[in-house]
Amino acid sequence: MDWLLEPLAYPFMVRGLLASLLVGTTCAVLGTYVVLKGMAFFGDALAHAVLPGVAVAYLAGWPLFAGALVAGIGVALGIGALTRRGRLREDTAIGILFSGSFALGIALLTTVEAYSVDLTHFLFGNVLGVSPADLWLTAGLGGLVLLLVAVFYKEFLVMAFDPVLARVLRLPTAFLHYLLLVMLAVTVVVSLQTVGVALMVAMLVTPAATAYLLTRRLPAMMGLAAFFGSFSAVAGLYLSYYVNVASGPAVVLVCTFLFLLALLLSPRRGLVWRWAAG
Amino acid sequence: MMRCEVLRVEELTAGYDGAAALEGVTFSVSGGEQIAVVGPNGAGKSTLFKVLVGLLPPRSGRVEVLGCDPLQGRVEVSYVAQRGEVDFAFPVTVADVVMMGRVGRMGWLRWPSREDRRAVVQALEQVGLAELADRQVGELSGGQQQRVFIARALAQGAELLLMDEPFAGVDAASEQAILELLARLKEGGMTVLLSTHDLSLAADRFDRVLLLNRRLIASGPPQEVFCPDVLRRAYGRQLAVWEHERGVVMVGDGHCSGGVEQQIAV
Repeated sequence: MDWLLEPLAYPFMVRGLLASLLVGTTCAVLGTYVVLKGMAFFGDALAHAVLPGVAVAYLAGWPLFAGALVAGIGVALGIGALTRRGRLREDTAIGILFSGSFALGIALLTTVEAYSVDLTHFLFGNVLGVSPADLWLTAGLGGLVLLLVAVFYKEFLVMAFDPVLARVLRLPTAFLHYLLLVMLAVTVVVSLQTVGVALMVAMLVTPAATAYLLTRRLPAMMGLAAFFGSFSAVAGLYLSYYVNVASGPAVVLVCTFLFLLALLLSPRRGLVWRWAAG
Repeated sequence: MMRCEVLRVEELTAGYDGAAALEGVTFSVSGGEQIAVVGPNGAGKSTLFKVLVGLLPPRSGRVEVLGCDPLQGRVEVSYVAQRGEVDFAFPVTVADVVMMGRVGRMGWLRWPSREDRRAVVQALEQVGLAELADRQVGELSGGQQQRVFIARALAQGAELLLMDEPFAGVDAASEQAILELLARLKEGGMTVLLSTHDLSLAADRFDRVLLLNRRLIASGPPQEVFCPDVLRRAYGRQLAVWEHERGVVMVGDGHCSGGVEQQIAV
């Protein structure tokens, strides 16, 4: 048991663990919709697109959270508007905004001398640098996202399963669409410090995809995804503590490992099961 | 008995970008009627349904569903889209799908009430799928899935049911089950518009047929609509039609219904 408790002697480690738990849970629950609606590329793009906001905030000495939040929501709504007009294919629109704003973010950061350490933090996360204030913000915003998922559960379910029915029932589909995008932006921002821009999409997609292999019930899928997400976050952090690898990649590797396990071993749908069934 | 008018379409022109998919279509439907909408591919059948349910605003003309403009619309219309438009691997149960029909009347921040749950159970009993309520929808056969959507329409309290190609990819026994179900719903006064490529089914099982090809070619009982002149006008060179002493013989290229030859005895 000592090896479990030892890292907890460091307050930064405790904060990191709590932040990872929150992020793992929030990302995974919202990620369920990302997986079901095929929005993985959008999530990835959004994560990269917050970088200019972070960079501007960083250069101006504003809170990074605020910069990222403004950029994330801006880009989410921008992509939403661009694709709803239907002039460009959605993946093309995302590709343009995503790479453009990512480049802008990096360009801004490279104006600072000795930028590489900070850039690395933004790209791959710095979970051990979570301050108490960051932790509160993570808890508040993550909790808000989870609350909204619960409050609009039946509306999001109809939207995801049958968008046509949503319109026939006169649900405010545009509002719900943008709400989901903004929730995604908030989640991305909340997760920035833990896993960073580059690996963000793994937290959204991998635990939910793992859960999808194991259940065909939405509430169960959300619950399992939250479990896999938070377990990966904690296990990854321990891994990084003992094996001395960067924490963000460690978390993502645990996620991926769990996914592969499910892919092989899931009852009925797993590869081993199918192989055994001939 | 006088039935009230459920649907009135006047001089409707509608479509997406470019040429109109429907032009100058006028017809009306009374309560409890069950109508087969037929016509060649691209005739505007799906477009018509999308206008009726308020998904597509008409370019011109007037549409009234249950006395309202479908764009302002009440929610007593139910629309069952073509099979390909639904993700059946989605993690929802049969009961979940039927419950979705209730979402429009539940209101924000509400969870399903006892009444909602009872409506779902009743709807599933009506379509004969009560035992499958907890299955994931993808585990059902194509015909059962269509019945799930009919149950959803019932739970929704729909008075008008629009079904786009419900028999595509459905085996004969399931087709029969769906038709029997629709016949029972007819007794309850449910008005149904159903598009199909199966002309003999339209002739055998429906009292009235709407024959579309961008324009409304004909509307009436099958024996009036399915006569050589009218069919030729709708299908043009896609179909060879001639009169035979026992009925109308038509030979098509089969890309619509999968069959090469359809014979309609009227």
